Amino acid sequence: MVDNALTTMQRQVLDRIGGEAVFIVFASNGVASDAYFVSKAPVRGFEKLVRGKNPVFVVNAVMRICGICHAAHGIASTEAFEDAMGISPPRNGRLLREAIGLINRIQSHLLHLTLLLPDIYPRDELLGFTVKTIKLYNKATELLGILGGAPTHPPYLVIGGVAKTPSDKVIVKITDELEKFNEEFVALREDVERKALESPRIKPLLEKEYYPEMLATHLFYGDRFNINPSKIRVVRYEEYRGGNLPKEAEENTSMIALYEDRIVEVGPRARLSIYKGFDGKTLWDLQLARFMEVEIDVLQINRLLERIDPHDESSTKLLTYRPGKGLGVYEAPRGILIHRVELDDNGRVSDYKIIVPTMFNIPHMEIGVKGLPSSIADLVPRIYDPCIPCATHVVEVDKNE
Amino acid sequence: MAYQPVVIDPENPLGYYTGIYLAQTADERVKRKLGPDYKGGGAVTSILLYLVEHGVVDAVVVARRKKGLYGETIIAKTPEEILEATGPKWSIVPYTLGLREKLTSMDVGRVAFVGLPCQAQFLRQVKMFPLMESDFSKKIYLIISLFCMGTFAVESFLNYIKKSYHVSPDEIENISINGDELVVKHVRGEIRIPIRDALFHLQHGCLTCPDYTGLFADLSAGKALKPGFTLLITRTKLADKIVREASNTGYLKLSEPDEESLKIVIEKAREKIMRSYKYLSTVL
Amino acid sequence: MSKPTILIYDLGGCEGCPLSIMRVYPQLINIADVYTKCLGKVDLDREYDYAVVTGPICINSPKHVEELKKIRKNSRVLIAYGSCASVGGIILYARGGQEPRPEHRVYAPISRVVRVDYAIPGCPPAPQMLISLLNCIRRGKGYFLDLFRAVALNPKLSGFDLMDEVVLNGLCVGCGACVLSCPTNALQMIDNRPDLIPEKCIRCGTCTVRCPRFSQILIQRSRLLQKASSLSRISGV
Ligand SMILES: Cc1cc2nc3c(=O)[nH]c(=O)nc-3n(C[C@H](O)[C@H](O)[C@H](O)COP(=O)(O)OP(=O)(O)OC[C@H]3O[C@@H](n4cnc5c(N)ncnc54)[C@H](O)[C@@H]3O)c2cc1C
Ligand code: SF4
Ligand code: SF4
Ligand code: SF4
Ligand code: SF4
Repeated sequence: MVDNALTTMQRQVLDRIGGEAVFIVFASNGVASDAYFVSKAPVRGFEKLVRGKNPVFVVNAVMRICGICHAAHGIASTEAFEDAMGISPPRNGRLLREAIGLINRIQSHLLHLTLLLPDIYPRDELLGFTVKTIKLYNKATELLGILGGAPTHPPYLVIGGVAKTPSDKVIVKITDELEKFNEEFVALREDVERKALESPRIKPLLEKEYYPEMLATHLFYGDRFNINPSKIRVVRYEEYRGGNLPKEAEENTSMIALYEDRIVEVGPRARLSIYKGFDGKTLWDLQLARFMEVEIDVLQINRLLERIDPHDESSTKLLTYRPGKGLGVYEAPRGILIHRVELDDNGRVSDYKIIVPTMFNIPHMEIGVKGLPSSIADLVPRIYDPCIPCATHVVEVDKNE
Repeated sequence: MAYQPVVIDPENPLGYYTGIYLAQTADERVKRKLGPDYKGGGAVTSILLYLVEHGVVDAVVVARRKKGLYGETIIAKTPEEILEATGPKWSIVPYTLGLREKLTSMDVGRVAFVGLPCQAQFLRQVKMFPLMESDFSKKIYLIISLFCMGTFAVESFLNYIKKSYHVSPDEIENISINGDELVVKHVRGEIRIPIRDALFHLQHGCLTCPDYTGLFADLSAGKALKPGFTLLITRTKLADKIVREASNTGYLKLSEPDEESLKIVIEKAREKIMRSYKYLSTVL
Repeated sequence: MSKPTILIYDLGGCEGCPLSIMRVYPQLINIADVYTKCLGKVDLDREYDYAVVTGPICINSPKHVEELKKIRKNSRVLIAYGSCASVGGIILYARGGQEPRPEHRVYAPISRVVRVDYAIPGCPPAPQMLISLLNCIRRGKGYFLDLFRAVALNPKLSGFDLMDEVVLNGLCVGCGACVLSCPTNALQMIDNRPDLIPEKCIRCGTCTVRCPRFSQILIQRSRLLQKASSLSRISGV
């Protein structure tokens, strides 16, 4: 693999990503030829942690896998339990859940933008823009506080629906806030896009085409009937890469997910490609896809809120504690998120599996960087927006399924 | 100015304060409500009325008597609701989940809270150190604490009155302190219970509580020696301003505190700190 | 006077805590020079006035233990921020055994490994928290500062401990502070006493520091502990 005498190895502790990871890049003459994405966060082991527990606990627990896409985990988990229990939320609950999930997605995309800004803006303009983006991020965060009960780990996400129906007033308020938010966002987006064209660090991404096979299940929510989970295989990183790895890569705390034994891209670009005909082929298009999503998500939230009946229940109180198996598939900010649960005779968790989007996307960070100047190598993982807290809490799915 | 940190110290039992006043209501509605033989000053109610009627706050959290010694916290937005909640409730009125629901969802911005010293401590912590993202910190505008020597374990105390004095809980109309006696008014008359006997029915937790005057509050209120007066202690500039404004706008009459009232408060406050040290050492 | 330097570092939590801090970044930069991975590089080898550590410490990860020790050495004031770092939080339930690193078994509040100056529960704490805390530390005294110092010495704090130490111990006065402080509504008032719904408690510890009784017990205990440890230092035990 690495036998060229001119080849250098560069090890970079990645900053400005969600979590802790190292990117090892091999380069010849300053051009990246191979890379290893090594996540370093300790494995907290949520699948093991929730075994034997009451479903109510599990939903609260798995939201804490990730402080970025907490609601996504909450939704995937509640969906899985409902599937296992044979219940479904009332109409309001389903609508509200989607809205909460989309706000979380906007939150996440804006957070990612904050992390990306230093690659786009010159030093003297950076601080102002960072503050501006954070303020916008805070706005989305506030909305989640209202609809979900808290801006992080929203407690209103419960099995059976959403714990609280917003009043007429609250809905009007959110609609107003979203309008203001959107105005500011559009302005910000235009500025960022313009500046990106001038940024020497971004330029290679604008030119580099990388467009692997895409996988998504829904534009806004997630649909377990659009994917065959038995075709997903989760393997250890070493197994996926094979061969002689750099020593450090063997310590990887993340796993890799394959669909029909192939690598696939999941996330904003996959969703838009499949459901909106988006055909951005460059690495920078990953970011444009995020921008587009924020805008269509705002519209969708408004549509959802219009359909909510403030006088109707949003959750079914009829939890059934019985044995069963359930599957929850949700389009998290970074792509397909799957929670699978098995309940024992007491209705407690006997088995729990989580597959997170970053496990699908890690291979692309390593392949996408090939051919780019190694000086900007760190940008490739960043543009893919990995989420390490999620990626390090998964277990190998049962191979004989 | 930033809020003064609270230090509980028997050498300085009243804690940090900016002013102490003797106050009496100047509001006819409050006087009418209190009736001729109420011993309190109605000052707290008057201040709350000022706050709401002058639009300083959107609502106040007070306790309303539910039945006998039991009360419930309510979010009052109108003068009528505030007047209805006048007077002490002789037990602690717990904050419940419903309160958070209402505070976070209702369209109230600024809220003034009335509670006991332990609740004032909680509110101050929520305001200064929001440990939860769903805390209603921004809504806490003013914290008013009543003085408190301790609250009764309600069932135990009621049972005692019933057994010893044959007055059933439903018959109790009012309880007040007169010197060393607890005066319990009931439908058939009144009984006088030596405080010493009643103390046995205080909640255990209250014995370890070091705070008599509500050190964490913006404004503390308790009984003055002179019947019909409330002793007010202001601990922040905001509270000072509010008390003066309430006086300027005719809700409240203010005067200098008398030496004797002050002496008693200091004594009781110190006594409570010492009591708490004693009991605390037994539960550590 | 130049601004104090502050390091924000996550040891493997969910990132909810550093993100909550990021939300007050616009205010924070006015009072401190901020070093965080979220906005650029961090250097653990330089000295900081404050270090804010989020996430639990994985006792079986030498890399993280070493990092934590280094941070302690290089910072004047060490703050354990959030439930994971301060009291363990949800991650106290972790039992290890999971792929691809089944050796990561034991997680603990960071005060298990290094001396911590202040420990702040909350999952995550509201963003404003850090600003208030820094202001308070500057003033150097007060009940709440004592309390957060005490949490650093007594990290065993959860709804279960609230029940054991206060409610079942007969010290609860029924104020309701704990009920209003639980992010998962695990506490409810029954006959003027809180009761715990055990399956809802994520061990975030918020209720315990909000309880007027427990907070006081914590402060007293930590005084005794400190006294004992200084005594043992003097006598060379
Ligand atoms: C349990 C208890 C113990 C007390 N112990 C002492 C004492 O030892 N020494 C002393 O000097 N004073 C004590 N007080 C305070 C005193 O009884 C008066 O409440 C105080 O002097 C204010 O008088 P005021 O006439 O100005 O108040 P008012 O105008 O009557 O207004 C009192 C306000 O407080 C609210 N309130 C009453 N009880 C409660 C409660 N339990 N929780 C929350 N809000 C409440 C009412 O709703 C009303 O809004 C105690 C009060 C209580 C409730
Ligand atoms: S004595 Fe203390 S704990 Fe008891 S009710 Fe009064 S303020 Fe609260
Ligand atoms: S305390 Fe809560 S928010 Fe903070 S890292 Fe732990 S789980 Fe995440
Ligand atoms: S009872 Fe609630 S506040 Fe207390 S530790 Fe458990 S989850 Fe946290
Ligand atoms: S906060 Fe403490 S004293 Fe108050 S109700 Fe809860 S356990 Fe009881």
